[in-house]
Parts: sequence; structure tokens; C-alpha cells
Amino acid sequence: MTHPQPTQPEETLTALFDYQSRTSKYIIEAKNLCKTYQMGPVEVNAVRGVNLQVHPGEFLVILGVSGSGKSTLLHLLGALDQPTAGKVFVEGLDLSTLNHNQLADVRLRRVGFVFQFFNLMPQLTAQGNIELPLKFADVPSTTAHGRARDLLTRVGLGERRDHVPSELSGGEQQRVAIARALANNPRIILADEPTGNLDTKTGAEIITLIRQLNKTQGLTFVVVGHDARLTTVADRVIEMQDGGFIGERAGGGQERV
Amino acid sequence: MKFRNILGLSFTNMRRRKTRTILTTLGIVVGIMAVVSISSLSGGFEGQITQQLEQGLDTDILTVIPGGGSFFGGSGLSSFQINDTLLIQNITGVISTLGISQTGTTIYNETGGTLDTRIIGVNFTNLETVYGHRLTFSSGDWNQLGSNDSCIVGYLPDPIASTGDNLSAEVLVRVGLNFNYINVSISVGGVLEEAGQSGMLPFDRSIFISIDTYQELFDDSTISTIVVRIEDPDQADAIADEINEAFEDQVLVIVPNFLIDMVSSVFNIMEIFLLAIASIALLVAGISILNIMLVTVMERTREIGIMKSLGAKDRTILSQFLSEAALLGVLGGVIGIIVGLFLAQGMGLMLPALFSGFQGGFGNGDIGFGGSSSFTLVPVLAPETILIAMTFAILVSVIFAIYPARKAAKLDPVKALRYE
Ligand SMILES: Nc1ncnc2c1ncn2[C@@H]1O[C@H](COP(=O)(O)OP(=O)(O)O)[C@@H](O)[C@H]1O
Ligand SMILES: [Mg+2]
Repeated sequence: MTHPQPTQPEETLTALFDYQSRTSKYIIEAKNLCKTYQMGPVEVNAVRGVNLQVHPGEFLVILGVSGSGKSTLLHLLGALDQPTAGKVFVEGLDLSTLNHNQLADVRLRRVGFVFQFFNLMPQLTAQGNIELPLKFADVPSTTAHGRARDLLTRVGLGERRDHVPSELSGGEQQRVAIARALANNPRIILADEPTGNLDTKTGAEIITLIRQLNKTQGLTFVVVGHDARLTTVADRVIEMQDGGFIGERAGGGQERV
Repeated sequence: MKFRNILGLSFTNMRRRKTRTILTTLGIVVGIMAVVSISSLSGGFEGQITQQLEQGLDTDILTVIPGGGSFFGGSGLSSFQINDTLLIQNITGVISTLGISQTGTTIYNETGGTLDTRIIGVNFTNLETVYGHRLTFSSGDWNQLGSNDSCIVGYLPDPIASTGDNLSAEVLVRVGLNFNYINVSISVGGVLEEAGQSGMLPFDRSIFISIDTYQELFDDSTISTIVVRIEDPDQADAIADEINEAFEDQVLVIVPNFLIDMVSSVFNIMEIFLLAIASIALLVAGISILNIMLVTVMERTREIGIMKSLGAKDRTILSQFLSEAALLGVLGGVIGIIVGLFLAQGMGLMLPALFSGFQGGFGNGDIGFGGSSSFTLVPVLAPETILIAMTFAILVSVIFAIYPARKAAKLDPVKALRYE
């Protein structure tokens, strides 16, 4: 770890977030963000100099071909990875000032990840998968149980709660993953090609679900991928290529509002 | 994350890979099984020997035998003269001494009954002063032993003679330069009640004759053992030292706890040996846990990535793997203790045959230890052995899981998520 390790305890971190989020206009902000991988003698600039502001409640889609740096960018925004240069602010707080445990806490409470390959724990049921982040957050087990049931019902999987991932279809697994991302009530969901591993019809259903969550809950979505249908529901679409942004336009979702 | 939740996930993970879980615990099972079976067997064996020794133990009796150096031989006296008892008699704290000579023989009664036994030559007066308090007569008494050719017959479930009867004994004596069997006649002056044995001196089944008669009969002026009765059992060691001094260390004084101490020390050595074996077994078990855990961490790399992406802290991942290791330890320990106990039971049934030669091994001539002929070995498992075994099972598992668990905790979440 190269970033500084402030001594502030986690309780004051929450207070700091609240203060900063009231003072910051953007829910996510990236400044001159760079991520370079060293592959032997070769340097791979996965993300190069990205500047980004995401508004609270926005549905942002970042489009780009495979290898353009979308996943890397998303990991940096969600405190899963540290940038080589530049800064990320989540709800106004500079991630570069947080220590290892505080970064874990950002992932636990501030952002929810949804992945292309669902990334459910194979040994846990749908219910168990959603309870897991609640347990990480020390939520009492009866509360966690009730909350996981509610979330499963909300994504339309109330009946399937006792099934393990291998007994669920791709679309069902992605719904569980979305419910799990919502477990600790984050205001931000980061989705990495959420329809990339689904058939056309199921993909469309998932897009409808996340758009609905965005509208009804006021959740901020940053969705990366190359599914063109994403652009129809997006508030804003950014084109990415070779680790940088090459264009930005309003999405189809904006027109409907 | 709460400990209960960590434990719950550990259970889930262990159930998921039952075969591997069993295989991982195998080393622990074998190690703990070895400890439990051997220590419970040795515990039972020690208890039994100690019990047998204690049956013949009088805390106010010292036994002096010729020799010195060590119990198993060495230079020194080869036998005592009868006057040697006086050297001991003069020591303060000594109540009385009893010189003993003995030999094996066959006894015939008047109706033709026979008994293979031993004749023990003693001074009757001294026998009374040393053992009078523990010997009672079923017929006759001390006063009827006046004559030198009367004898005392030890307890027999099926008495061979009663007071006033005559016994004949076939004894091997030296006539000129040859040894010949001759018959001697002795009248019975008293028959003893059951009295067991004292130290090396068995009362039951024995025939006691006067030492004068004995020495005349066998043309032998030596005595083989001196039994000493002392006033205060706490003085045993001090008096033993004085006896040694009086005989210039050419004797061996067996204090009441000598044999028990010796048996205990033998078993202490066995236990150290056992501990060494157990340590090696547990070390091997630990290394196998280390190995399998490393494989498990590799296989579960993606899961670790998922947990981290959900906000799990490093210490949560660490405690997750350590708690799985601890559960493996508990499982291995419990199975090991159960299997070890069964193994000990089985060996307890088979071992006595192997150990049966041990009984007659102590003592000289036919005066030995261990009266009972049926020898059973019941394993005894001390509660603290269970506690120690469980502690070690868990400790070894957890210690050897530290490295893999730390490795898991330190995984980079992005790399872990990309891992196929
Ligand atoms: N751990 C890594 N080591 C080296 N290169 C990497 C690593 N992760 C990603 N890259 C490279 O960075 C670039 C961007 O990758 P990624 O962010 O996964 O793109 P996308 O998600 O748009 O497909 C690619 O060229 C990829 O090969
Ligand atoms: Mg990608």
C-alpha cells in the first residue's frame, strides 16, 4: 500500500462522508485518473487521464470495446483497486486518504458491484449470498434475514431464495447479484457488463430492472459494457477507447424523463 | 464479521468438500489417535502395576538385600550372615529385624496331598515382632512355636494341614559332595489366615521354619534378605541411608516406595518417548494441513475476491480460514480420541499375552511380585489427556493455517476476481 494511512477511526469516517457529500456536488468524481500495469518490460496504460463527474441519481453508461479499460476504471471508482495517478472521490471523500480497512468499508457500505459473471458464492443459497455483505457489516442476523428476503422479492426471486447459484438461470443469478449489491443500502451501483453473459431477452429484463431501481430508489448507476440497449435507458453515455474517454452524449433515458 | 457467522460459513465450506475435509484431518486423527491410545494404555498399565505393588506394600517395612551398586547387580555382598541383622537392629528408629532364607520344595501331608511351595527360614520371635500385627492364626498361635522343628503354614484356600499334623518335605540337600533329595518331618505349630505378601515376602502358600533348623538342614549359614520394621514410615529414607552406611554400600535397601517410584519413572520415560512420537505425528499433520490449505486458498481465490469486493476486511478473510482450520482440528481431535480409545481397548485385550512374562521378572527365586495370575489391561484415559489432545489438535491446525490464511487475506481483490 502506498497511499497514506490516516488515523481517523471508521465512525468518524461516516460523519466525514456525510459532511463531504453535502458539500460536494458529485457523488463520484475522478480527476486525471491513471492506471498503468507493468507487464515485464511493457507498460500497459489501462486507464489514462480520465476525468469524470457523476451526479447523484444519474444513470451513466460507459461504452467501449473489450480491452478499452472499462473494468479497470470501474474498479478504481469502487475502491477495489488503487490508481497509479489521479484521484477518486466517492460521496465527496478522497479515496487516496483512506487506509486498507476504510477502503473495504467504502465497498461494504458506499458502493455495490454487479459483475458480468455474477460472482455469487457457489456454496451459499440466494438468501445466503445476500446475507453475506450484511454479515460483513455486523447486521443482526434476524434483520439480515428479513432484509435479504425483501431484496429477493424486490428483484422478483422470492420463490428461489433457497437455491444455490448452480440451480439458478443466468438471469436469476444476476438478479441475486443485484439484490446483493443493494444489501447495505449503498447510493452507488457499479455494474460491469451486467448483460454480457445473458441472452437477449434476459439481458433486456435486467436492463429494465436496473433502470427501475435507478428511477424508484434514486440509485446512481455507472454501467460499463458494449450492449447498445444500455444507451437507450442511460441518462448519459460516454465512449471509451484505449483507456481514455473519446466522446460523451445524452442517452435515450434522458429524453423520456 | 461476527464470530458466529464466520463459524457458520466455515461449516458450509467444510460440508462442501467432505472428502477433502476428511483427508485434511487424517494427519491430526492419526497423531491424536496415537497419543490417546498409547497414553491410555500406559495409564492403565501403570495403574495396574502400581496397584499390585501397593497390595504388598507396608510403609513401615524396609527390605535389605545383598548387592549394592544397582538393583540389577553390581559388586557387593552376595549374602548376609545372621549377625548382620544386629548392625541394623542397633539403628535408632528400627523396631525389629528379620533375617530370611528360602528355598523351593515339595511338601507332603499325612494323607498323601502335595504342594509345590517354598520353605522360608525365619526366627519366629522376630517374625512376630516384625509381622505379628498383620498375621493371625486360623489354628495354633505364637506360643506353640517353641520347638525348633515346628513350622507355620501359610494360608491355602484348600488347607494342607492343621496344627499338630506332621508334614514331610522333600528337600535338596548336600550330602558329602553330592546333592540328594531327602525327606524331613516337621510338625505344624500354626496355620495362618490369608495375609498376602509384604514386599518380597509372600505369606500365603509358604512354609515357615526356624532359621536354626533351616541352616542345619541346608548346611547354609547365610541369609538372603533382611526385613526391617521401623517406627516411623517418614524415616524410611533416613534409615535406609544409615543401613547403607553400616554395610558400606554393599547392600540395596528397598524402601516402600522404591518399586513404585521405579515403575513411575519407567512410565515417565515412556511418556516422554510418546510425546516425541506425537510431536512428529502432529508436525506431519500440520504440514499436510499447510499444503491442503494452500491448495484450498488457490482454488477459492475467486471467492476471496468476491468477498473482498463485497467489503470483507482482510482480517475477516484471515479469521475465516483460521476458523476452518480450527474446526478441522476439532474434527480431527474428536475422531482421533474416539478411534484412539477403540484402538486402546483392542490392544488392551491383545497386549496382556505379550506382557505376561513381565510378572515373574521381579524379585529373586520364587519370591516375586504380582500374586494374581489373570492379567487384564484396562486402558485408562485421564481427562487432562483429552484436554491436551484437543488443545494440540486445534493449535497445530491453526498454527499451520496461519501462512495460507494470511496469503488469502492479502490477495489483491482485482487479481483474485480475474482468477479462473
Ligand atoms: N492485471 C493486469 N495486468 C496487466 N494488464 C492488465 C491487467 N488488467 C487489465 N490489463 C490490461 O488493461 C487493459 C484494460 O483492461 P480492462 O479494464 O479489463 O478492459 P475492458 O474491461 O474494457 O475489457 C487491457 O489491455 C488489459 O489487458
Ligand atoms: Mg471488462
